[in-house]
Amino acid sequence: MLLALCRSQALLWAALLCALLVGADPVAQGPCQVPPQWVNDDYCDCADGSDEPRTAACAGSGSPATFHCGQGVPPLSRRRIPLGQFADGICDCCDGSDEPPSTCPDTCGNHLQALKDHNATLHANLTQWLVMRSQLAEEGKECVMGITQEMEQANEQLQKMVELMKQFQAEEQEAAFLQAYHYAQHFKSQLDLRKHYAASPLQVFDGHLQLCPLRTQCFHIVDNEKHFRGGSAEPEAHDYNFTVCPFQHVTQIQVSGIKEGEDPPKSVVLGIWAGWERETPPSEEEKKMRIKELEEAESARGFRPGTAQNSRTMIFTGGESCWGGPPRTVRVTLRCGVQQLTQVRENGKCTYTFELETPGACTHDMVPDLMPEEDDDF
Amino acid sequence: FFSATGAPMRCSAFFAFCLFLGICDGLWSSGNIEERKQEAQVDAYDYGILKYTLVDGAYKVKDAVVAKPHGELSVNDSPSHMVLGNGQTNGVVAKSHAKIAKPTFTEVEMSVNDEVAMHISVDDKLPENAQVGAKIRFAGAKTIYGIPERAVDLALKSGHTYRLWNLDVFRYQLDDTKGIYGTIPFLMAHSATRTIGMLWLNAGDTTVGIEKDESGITAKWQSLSGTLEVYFMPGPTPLDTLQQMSYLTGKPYLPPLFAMGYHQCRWNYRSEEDTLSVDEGFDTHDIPYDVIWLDIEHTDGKRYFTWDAHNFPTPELMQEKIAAKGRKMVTITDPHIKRAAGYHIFDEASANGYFVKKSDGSGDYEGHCWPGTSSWLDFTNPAVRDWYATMFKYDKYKGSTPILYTWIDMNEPSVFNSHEVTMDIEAQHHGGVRHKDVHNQYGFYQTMATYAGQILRSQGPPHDTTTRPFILSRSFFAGTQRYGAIWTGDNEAKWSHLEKATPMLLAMSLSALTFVGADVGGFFDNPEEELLVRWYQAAAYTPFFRGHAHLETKRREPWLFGEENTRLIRDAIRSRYRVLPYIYTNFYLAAKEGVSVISPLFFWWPTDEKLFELQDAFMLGDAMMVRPIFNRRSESDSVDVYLPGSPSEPWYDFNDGTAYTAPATHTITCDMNKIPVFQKAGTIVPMRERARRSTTAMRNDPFTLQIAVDAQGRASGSLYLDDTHSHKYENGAYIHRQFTLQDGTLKATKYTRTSAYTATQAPATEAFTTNLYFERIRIYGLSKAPAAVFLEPLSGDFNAYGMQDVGADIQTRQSLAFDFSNGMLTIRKPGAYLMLDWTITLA
Repeated sequence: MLLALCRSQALLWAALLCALLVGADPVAQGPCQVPPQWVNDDYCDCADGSDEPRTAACAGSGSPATFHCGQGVPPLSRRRIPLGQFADGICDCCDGSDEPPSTCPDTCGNHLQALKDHNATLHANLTQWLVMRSQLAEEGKECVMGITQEMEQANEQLQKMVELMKQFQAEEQEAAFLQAYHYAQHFKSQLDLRKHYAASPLQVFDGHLQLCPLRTQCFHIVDNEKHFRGGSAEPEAHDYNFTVCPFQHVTQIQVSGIKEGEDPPKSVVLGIWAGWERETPPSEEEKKMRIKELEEAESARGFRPGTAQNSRTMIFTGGESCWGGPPRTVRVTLRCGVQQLTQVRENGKCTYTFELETPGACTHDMVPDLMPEEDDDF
Repeated sequence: FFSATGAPMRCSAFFAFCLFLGICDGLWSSGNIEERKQEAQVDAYDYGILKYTLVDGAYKVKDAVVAKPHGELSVNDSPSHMVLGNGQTNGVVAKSHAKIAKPTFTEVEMSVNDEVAMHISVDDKLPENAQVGAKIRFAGAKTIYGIPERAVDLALKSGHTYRLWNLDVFRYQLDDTKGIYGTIPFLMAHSATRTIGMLWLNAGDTTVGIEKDESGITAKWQSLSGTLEVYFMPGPTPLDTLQQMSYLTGKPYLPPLFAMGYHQCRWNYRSEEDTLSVDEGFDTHDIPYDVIWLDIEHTDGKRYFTWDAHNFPTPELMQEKIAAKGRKMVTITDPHIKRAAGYHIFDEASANGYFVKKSDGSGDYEGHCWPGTSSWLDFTNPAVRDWYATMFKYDKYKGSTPILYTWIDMNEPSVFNSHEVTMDIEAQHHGGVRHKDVHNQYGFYQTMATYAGQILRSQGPPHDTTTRPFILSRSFFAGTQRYGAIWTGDNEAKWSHLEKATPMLLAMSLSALTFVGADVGGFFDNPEEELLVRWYQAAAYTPFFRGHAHLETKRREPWLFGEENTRLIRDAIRSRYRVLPYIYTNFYLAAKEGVSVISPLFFWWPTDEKLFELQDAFMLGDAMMVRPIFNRRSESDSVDVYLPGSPSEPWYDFNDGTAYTAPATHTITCDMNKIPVFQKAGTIVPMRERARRSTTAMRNDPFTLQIAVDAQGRASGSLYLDDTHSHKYENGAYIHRQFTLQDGTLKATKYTRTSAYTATQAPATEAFTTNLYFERIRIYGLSKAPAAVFLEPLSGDFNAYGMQDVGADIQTRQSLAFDFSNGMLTIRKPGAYLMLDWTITLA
């Protein structure tokens, strides 16, 4: 409790108390000791800013100290602003507590109402989306079975053809051999395609069965290159139609500025499904553990954003090279929402990012309380 | 042959003669030798500057030189020579005279204090295409500098021929002797005993070959068009030479304070939403910045002075939001105009015939640039400049507001589908002048017109006073410093480009171009994180400080590279804002005295030969030295820094006060936190140490004085302050305070020092007052703690300053709190006001 207070340094009394408690330790970078009249006297005595919690004197002194809005009254007290933004002529706290009295209008009411409205809408939407998610998870079971079956079938057929090839080879039936080889290649490619989904469907969807139905769907978004990449070195900036087919590929095609008599623009592959983005590749042991964990608890667990195994972002690689550049690559980030593609960006040459909203990315812990909590930001 | 109207002659001396130059017009045209009549002319200017011209009817550069000849010339004639003394007395630093050989008048010796310093020998064996040429010999010179802009070493190299021709060079190569975007045909020749300067006033395609030998340096000049016009600046020190160049081509303008803050740019922020979120990002990450920029894509189809209706539908509203944070914006307005009926700029320019014409004069010159088929405004025409200025008025430039400033790019001019990516050299400008005659001045003229536009728009509501313009141009010529800032164009995200930025900026600075910078991070390609951090740390101390990046690079806002790099970049940008009072003071001194803001080290220690070719460090003002780091730590985590001077003038680490002896080379270990920055002994640097979000947010913050004492315990420095944005300072609405520490007493008085180069000021009709004060005085280099520290006001007309409420506590002698540790004295809240005279005594 006391230590937490010391870290927050929100209040004058807290700062003083902390100075008494911890100030004697010369090694710790804790609050330093100053005479009482030097606290909040608009001069920075302590490198950690602990003597000036309610002035800007210590702004930039190397301290991470912040100013707390709202004179400590919850929930407004929770907005923290950098010390340098205190008394700088710009209203940052909704109650105006960072600027001299009667400088700033009190906009906390508006903020609170806006937040309530936002939460109410989100609450209603999420309730719906979570139902959709459960349905998707049901569909997902069949979907995964489907893939497994497809792979098994393709493998069976392949083996059959290989057997036939051996037979025809022995019988020196050249035409039949070539035909079997042709079929074998077809099944092999089907199998290879499925291998894009890796060995186990659970691994493909990272344990999230509700995402499996996405594999048979494609999503579109049309945007102008001024908007998705910032501009064009050509006189005219063009519109492009992007198609994201999760677990398959991403393509684009130019849809504006097509001149008569010129060849129509061709669809360009931006990337082929390559898996989920991982911050660090998990070890084999970790993979097994995670799969087991997910198999056991899939229905009960939420989608976990921000874990080491970031299963929110799909990677597509090996796209066609752009002019003078490397092969194109794509990241598709899944967000909680209705099923739609909401954003495309080219950030850096040949590097595309998309945001795909799906109820499959919604979790129960996203449902907001209808009353804002203390740590909500104003 | 010569016509002299009596001695002493006023202003200038003329000598008419016939010159057998291979370049004479029509020399072989009809089988007869036709001589071109030329008149040699010598003019005298202030400060001993002399001009030698061959007047022959060819195009003469206009508007670059602003000084008028008004010195007296004494004439001493003999059968073999004529000696013309610069008899003017105004600000004579060195006596000079010209000795002209008769009867040709094409051999001229320029002397400083009766010693021959420069010899002009008009070239009579020019290649067929050259129009004028001369060998110019700098007697006794050891090194020679100048002729920006190119990515070469600061000291020009013997055996190299440099080309002066403004071009938009795609991915310009380091160490290429060919020119890039701008030109200042100025050379500074230096030795331990003398520095002189020369200006080859010609805007045509020019080359300079440099040859060094044991007794001096020869520069072989040739221009493919124009007139031979050579200005000689007698020095005798580097600073004198620079100030003489500033006198000739105009002292730099004083930019508004915000322009010295950090600028955030990119090709291109996508939309209003994107722009505002970047602005918000700076506040969220507590990183200061002042200006956010919009490149060509903010327009409707690259029609400048318009807005993209989809991505920037409410530009005024966007600017209001930026303005509410005390920040500014910049939009780009390039000189090429899309040929599109209905586009107001095109329609008006077209109707008035304001475009450059084709070589046969039959119609508008056309070429390709960003918008496709375009024509180029003829900024050499005063009527076009006047008209262009009106385009910046708020009712003309729809969607612009008073916080919007201007960037002018591609003004070499860049023409994508033309020879050397520039305009047809025979294209016709105003008055039938061919492009080849004015080429290197094209960007300069656009800067001039844009400056006029920003002045014009502020001469009425909503402005209550005219505001100082801010313009960034890529192309420049001698004189551009009067109007705006320059950046080194499209550099690359490479360590070598960071390294070369220093000599490039120094070459401009010593050629009187003051407000200069290089794109932080490198324009092309993606910088590795360590490079980006080091670039911020170095650029924080250069006059112009902007991050910019190409369309095809990854986003580069300072917080996108992890927490640690965000902290390092934040600290680097903050280090800039901390010393802004010092930088602003130096910009003022530049405007007043014609000095530069940054300079090579040899400027301050001209006799130290170790500094002659030193280009990895620079001086900021006369108190701070900066050594950028341009190598990875994995290659070396330390640098050798040579600190010049004398044993009585040690150096101090700017941030922690560690003392370093001089003259000596020190090995400085560099972690990622900072680059070596030193404060010279004997100096005082005014600062503001509170980290704010912008210059506007700092306006009420108190100041710090950081003092580094010499061996005798002495130091001095000054602080300039005004309203930071208007022209009222020209009428006296400013304060300039002098601080002197001597014999244990720090004294604050009015700054009264003047030099021969100080601009004459009109009597003050306005005043600037402030109740700001010093919150801290920090002294490096004291050997022991004082027993006590006292403040005593010398004088204080508090009422006159509107400071009735603050005066009471400083009218009596007061004992001040202080702390002394690690050789650093910190005086706490001395109660010393900026406006007042006071002394602080260390007892």
